[in-house]
Amino acid sequence: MRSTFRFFCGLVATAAVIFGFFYRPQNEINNRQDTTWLLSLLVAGIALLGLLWVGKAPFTRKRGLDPEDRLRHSVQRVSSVLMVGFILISLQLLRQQVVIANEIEKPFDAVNSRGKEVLIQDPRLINQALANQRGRIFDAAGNEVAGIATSKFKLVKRTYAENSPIKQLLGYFSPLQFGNSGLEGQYDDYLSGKFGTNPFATLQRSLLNQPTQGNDLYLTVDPKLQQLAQDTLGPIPGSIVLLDAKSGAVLAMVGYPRFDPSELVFDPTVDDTLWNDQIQQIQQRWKAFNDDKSQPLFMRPTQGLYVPGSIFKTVTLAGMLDTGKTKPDTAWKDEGSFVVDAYKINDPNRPNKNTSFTTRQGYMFSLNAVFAQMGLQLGAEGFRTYADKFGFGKELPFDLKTSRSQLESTKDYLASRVAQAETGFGQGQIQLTPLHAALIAAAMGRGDGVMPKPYLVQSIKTRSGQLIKETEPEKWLETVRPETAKTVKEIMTASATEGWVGINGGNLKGSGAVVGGKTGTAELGNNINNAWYIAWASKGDRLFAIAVVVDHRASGEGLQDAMPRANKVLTAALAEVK
Amino acid sequence: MRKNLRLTEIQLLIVPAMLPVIGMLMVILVPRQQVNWDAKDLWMTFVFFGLLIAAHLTLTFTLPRSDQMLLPLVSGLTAFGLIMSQRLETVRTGNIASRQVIWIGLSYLVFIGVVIGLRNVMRLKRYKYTFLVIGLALTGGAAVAGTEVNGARLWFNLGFFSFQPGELLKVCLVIFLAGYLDDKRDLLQAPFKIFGIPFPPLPYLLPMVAMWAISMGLLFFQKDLGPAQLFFGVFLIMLYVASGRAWYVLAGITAFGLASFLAYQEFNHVQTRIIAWTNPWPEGQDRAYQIVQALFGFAQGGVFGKGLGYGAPNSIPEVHTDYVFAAIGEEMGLAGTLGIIALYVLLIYRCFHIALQARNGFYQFLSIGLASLLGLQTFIIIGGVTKLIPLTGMTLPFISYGGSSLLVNFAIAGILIRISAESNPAGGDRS
Repeated sequence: MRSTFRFFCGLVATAAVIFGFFYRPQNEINNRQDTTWLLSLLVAGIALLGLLWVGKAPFTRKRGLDPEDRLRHSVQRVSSVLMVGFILISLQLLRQQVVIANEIEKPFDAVNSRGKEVLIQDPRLINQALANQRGRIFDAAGNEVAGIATSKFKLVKRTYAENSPIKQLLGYFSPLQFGNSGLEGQYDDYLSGKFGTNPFATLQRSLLNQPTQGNDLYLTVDPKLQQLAQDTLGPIPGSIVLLDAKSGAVLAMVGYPRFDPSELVFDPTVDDTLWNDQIQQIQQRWKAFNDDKSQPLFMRPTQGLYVPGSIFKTVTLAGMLDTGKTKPDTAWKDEGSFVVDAYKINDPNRPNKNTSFTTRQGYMFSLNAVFAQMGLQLGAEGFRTYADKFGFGKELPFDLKTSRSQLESTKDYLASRVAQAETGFGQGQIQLTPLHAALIAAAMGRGDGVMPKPYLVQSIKTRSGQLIKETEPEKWLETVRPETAKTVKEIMTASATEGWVGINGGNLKGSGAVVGGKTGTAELGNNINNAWYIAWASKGDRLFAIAVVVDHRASGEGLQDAMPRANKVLTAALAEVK
Repeated sequence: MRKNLRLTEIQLLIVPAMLPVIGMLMVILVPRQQVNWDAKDLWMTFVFFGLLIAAHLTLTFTLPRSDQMLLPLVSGLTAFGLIMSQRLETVRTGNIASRQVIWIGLSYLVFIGVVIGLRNVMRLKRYKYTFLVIGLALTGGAAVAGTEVNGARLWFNLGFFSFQPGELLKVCLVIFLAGYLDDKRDLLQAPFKIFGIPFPPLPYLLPMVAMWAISMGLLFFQKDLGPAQLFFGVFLIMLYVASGRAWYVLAGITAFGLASFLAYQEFNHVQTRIIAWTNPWPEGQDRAYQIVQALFGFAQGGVFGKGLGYGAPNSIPEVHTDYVFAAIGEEMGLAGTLGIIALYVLLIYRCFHIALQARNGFYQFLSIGLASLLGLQTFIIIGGVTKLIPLTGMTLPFISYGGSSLLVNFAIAGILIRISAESNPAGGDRS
């Protein structure tokens, strides 16, 4: 009878503890309360007490007769009460230190009893994050773009070179509040020292209680060209991407609107009584950035998706030539407009009143009627094949987050003949990123059709300068056959010498370079256009590729808004080449 | 001859003697971020080592047959206290490590003094009323003329240090109760009925009411449940052991519960403590800051802890006194906290063991009372900092920084050693 009771008590106690460990109502998780757990501990405690209380005292001969034995019995019960207490404490410790430790360490948003919103978080985690001797970031000329400053309490602040045009590529560094974005986010493991550091050195530092040492990034970005690109773009929504077309290294990459990461950086070197105010201010700026309709936190050159307009003719042309469906001198009919399935496509670009133009002329003068017909010939399957070869719909591998460029956004859009014609000259549903546009120019300008893998980080070194990782140029895609690419390159050159581009100053006379380029003006309706220009320029053994977009511009024109900006940047880049 | 050598104690003392060597080096070198050290860094360790030898030799020469586990257990806990006081020393706390060494030295002297000087523990019983009066007078005096620390007027400020008479009162009351209950033991069987309802016999009823009153007085002056819980709990345990009736205990707990509820209604201080227990997180920046920081510390510790010196326990206010266990949890992890709890459990059970071997009723009651004093205090403070029960300000015996508590606890250890020796005048090595 007694043993049954004890067995039952033991069972109840075990069940209560297991229940308490594994069952946690959602509202208690949200409010960080332990009511269920404490109640199950109470049940377990009472059951344990029952178990120990009725236990036969080993000393008792006849219970209750001998005062000595009775005393022993009482002592045993008293000790069992204390024992239950210590068992409960041990269970509580097991829970607090192991079972829900991760949950406790998470920052907790709450409203306190005075109705104030508070963020409860472990100062140890803050200090660990702020004590990390984060790696620095350098540009291609070896100037420090982002560095660190250490307070007397050994807390570290991210510092930035003032007015550096490269700041916009770094992303924000906000371990306490919003996390890290941009390079700070993508290379966090290296910058924080988690990767790339000698494990023995890390162990030594941790044993000596020294903060972890991060590794430095060396970028491919040329500070002069970046500054020029930023000035050239000015405060106008758009992007400029300049690549070394042979390696894929990014020489300049700017976007507008942008944000300054130093506005979101937390400064732990100030007195800690000011921390809360500072956090509030940063929070407000963050909110302002997020509420801003122009989306300054958005990295336009790599994430912005824009309708390309005529620059897409390069892809259509490459596809048509590659499949052999056309030759550069094939003649096309163009009477100033083209009608497909009762849908009229205007062609305002003809240089004269001729009604027949070759493929080459179609590209040079950006003739929509010609490319609408090419689009119909290439067909849905042809577009899909070549869009795929040119990287549309694929994840673009890069050191920053990229968006996927796309050929069509609704399924089977290209089944319609009108869609094929529109897509032929770059309207339709095509969208691509400025970086991708620059890569298309690079692949054609190389003359071999190889699209290089773009990169921004040239090398990673330890703080003492030891090389950890050096980026080797790689190819990303093989777009069209080399012969085709050579032909496209030749037609692009013609465009930049005798076509609209060349006539309007795109041939960069006096720079000594061979240039190929194509403008684009994508109509978005209501006279709002994306003004585009993609080009490559080769001089000596250097080959540059550039893409410029001035997006959502009222009566924007590729020739007026995009090409002159590209020319400035290309001229500066070519001037450096001997 | 060999029987008099206390070899068990020597073996067991090796660990508490070596513990501070490693521990102190860690907590000194880690913040210094160096591996170079010299003998000067270890002076506290050497002092502690000397104290262990002195205590051991005293026992060997005066009470060779006394309990051999008590001193190693107490010393082990004290070693942790020494290490943690060095660890938690900051600009704000002042030089608590050197002070703690002085307190530890004085405490071992008290221990040795009790072992040598308290020739006959029975003499304590003779002066039981004197102890009661001394204890109450000191506490009453402190309540009237003492300085206020954290809203509680239970301190005497003696210039270079503050003395807490509450610590002394604990022992005085236990001595008195042990003597009283032993005296009245035989009278207690008589039933005592009013209108047919069985009441505890007057000798039980009177001290029960008196103790309740004292506890409530403490509650009122200290505005805190802790000491009241402790005093009343110890009293109930002794009452239960003397009478064998759980019924009285239940009645006592009910009465205490009612009073606590009133206190909760009355005192903001108590309400804060209850909120810090049931729902501390939203108040983590003000009212429940301390407990939330402690919970962070425990969570950071995980299974094996951050390592001595590698954590940041100083973000918990008052961590060196009430919250020292949270610092242990952070830097030594679950392994450390369970280890410390195991030490306490062993110590308390050893005291109960001494009680069961004791020669007469007074010794039994006295050692049970002292053992449950240590046990309950440990439970209340550890349970409080781990958020198992509402927190009440109290020291962790032998580990927390603080003179009064350390001195009194070592006096308790001395009395228990003395009792174990007297219960075993001719016996051999029983460990």
